[in-house]
Amino acid sequence: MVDASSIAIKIRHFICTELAPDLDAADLDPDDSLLDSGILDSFGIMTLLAFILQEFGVDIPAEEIEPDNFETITTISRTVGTYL
Amino acid sequence: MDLSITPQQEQLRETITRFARKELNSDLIERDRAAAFPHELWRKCAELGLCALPFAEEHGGSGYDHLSTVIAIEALSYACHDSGLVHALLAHLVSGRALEIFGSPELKQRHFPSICSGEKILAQGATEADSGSDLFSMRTRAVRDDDGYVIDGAKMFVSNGPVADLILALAVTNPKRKGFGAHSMLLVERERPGFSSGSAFEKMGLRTLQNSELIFEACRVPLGNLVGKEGQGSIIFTEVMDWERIVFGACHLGTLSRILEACVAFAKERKQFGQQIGKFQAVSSKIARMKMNLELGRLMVYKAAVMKDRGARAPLEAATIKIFASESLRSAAIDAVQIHGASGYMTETQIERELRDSAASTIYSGTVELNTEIISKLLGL
Repeated sequence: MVDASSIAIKIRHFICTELAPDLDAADLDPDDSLLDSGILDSFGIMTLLAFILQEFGVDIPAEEIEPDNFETITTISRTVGTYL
Repeated sequence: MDLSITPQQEQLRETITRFARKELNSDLIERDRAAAFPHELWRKCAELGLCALPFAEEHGGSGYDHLSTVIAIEALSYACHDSGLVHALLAHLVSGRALEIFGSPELKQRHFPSICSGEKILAQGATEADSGSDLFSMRTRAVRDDDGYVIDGAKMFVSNGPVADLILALAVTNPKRKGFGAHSMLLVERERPGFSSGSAFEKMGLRTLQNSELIFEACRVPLGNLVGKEGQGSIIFTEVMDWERIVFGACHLGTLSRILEACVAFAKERKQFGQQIGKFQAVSSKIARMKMNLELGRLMVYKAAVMKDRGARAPLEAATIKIFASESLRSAAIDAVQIHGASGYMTETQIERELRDSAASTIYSGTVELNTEIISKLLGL
């Protein structure tokens, strides 16, 4: 069983190394909007979905890929957690 | 992974091949010259069920799975020499997928019977004059009020644009956002005030496919015309593009198959220096490469279709297929003209049309450059 905090750590690490490598991880709050900042652009969401599939074995259904579920690290982790 | 073809799928392939050869290829030189949409042939395709191929039976569709659908499309593209008509059909099927996956039950109930019967033609408007592959440069806006959305903007080069009855329009609904969440997908019926379409553009190839500008001037649609949720537009677009790249891969391979057959026949018939030109390695190697690419491409398309049937996402496979199949097709069309010599350059032999029709294949559904970028990103580069 993977707990929510360990999901969040992995998601944050992926975002800070792959999607926003110029961003200091310490500056990214789990509740910061990834959408308003543009960190999750069209390539970003695609690579994040691929990471979630590879890391957690979760293929999130297209209908569930909506802004509310991908707004922040917290909401992404919660969404992934519902499929584990 | 099992990529074997069932007897039912083989039957589907044969039925479509027979139908297309009998019904869709007459007067093609004149049809291409006139560059008009073949409404009568569209109706015949619809009667066979081609407008309903992948849609669920509960929506009035034929309910074919992804693998059966790509087999059907490959067969149609092989046997129907009017590539513009095939592309029109694919634009319809791909747009319908967005509505089927993301549309509300009310929208589906209202529109799917006439989509499946071919009575209503679908189009999808995403590209703009200043934003093609770069979705986030989009200028079309949809502003929400109490009653719905008011759309302002223009879409460019839209396939089926001048003939479509229903348009899935991608518009910015949250301009504060710079990425995912900025766009929404809205269904626009042609009769909506404020909507209009331009005349069909003259094109190098795919001439019976009609492409035009779509204009939205304070075009109001009700809240119920939102497809998916607000802010979900770019993911709807991405999901649809995944499928679009796979079906266009099947389409390119069907045409490639036809070109290969024509080249083999010509290389056996045409004699120079006392022997068939196919005996010269400079000619036969071109044809052998066509066959190699066809077989490789088919495996890629079938694999991606099976992945889709298993409910998996396949963005990397889709981008790979689109590059490989489109480059293989364009290369085969160039070689086919070369192999046919002067006669290949003449309109009458209908080889030059294959080259004109294939030229855009490396541009639409994401350019080769964009699809290469997708592959690179998904490899973590």
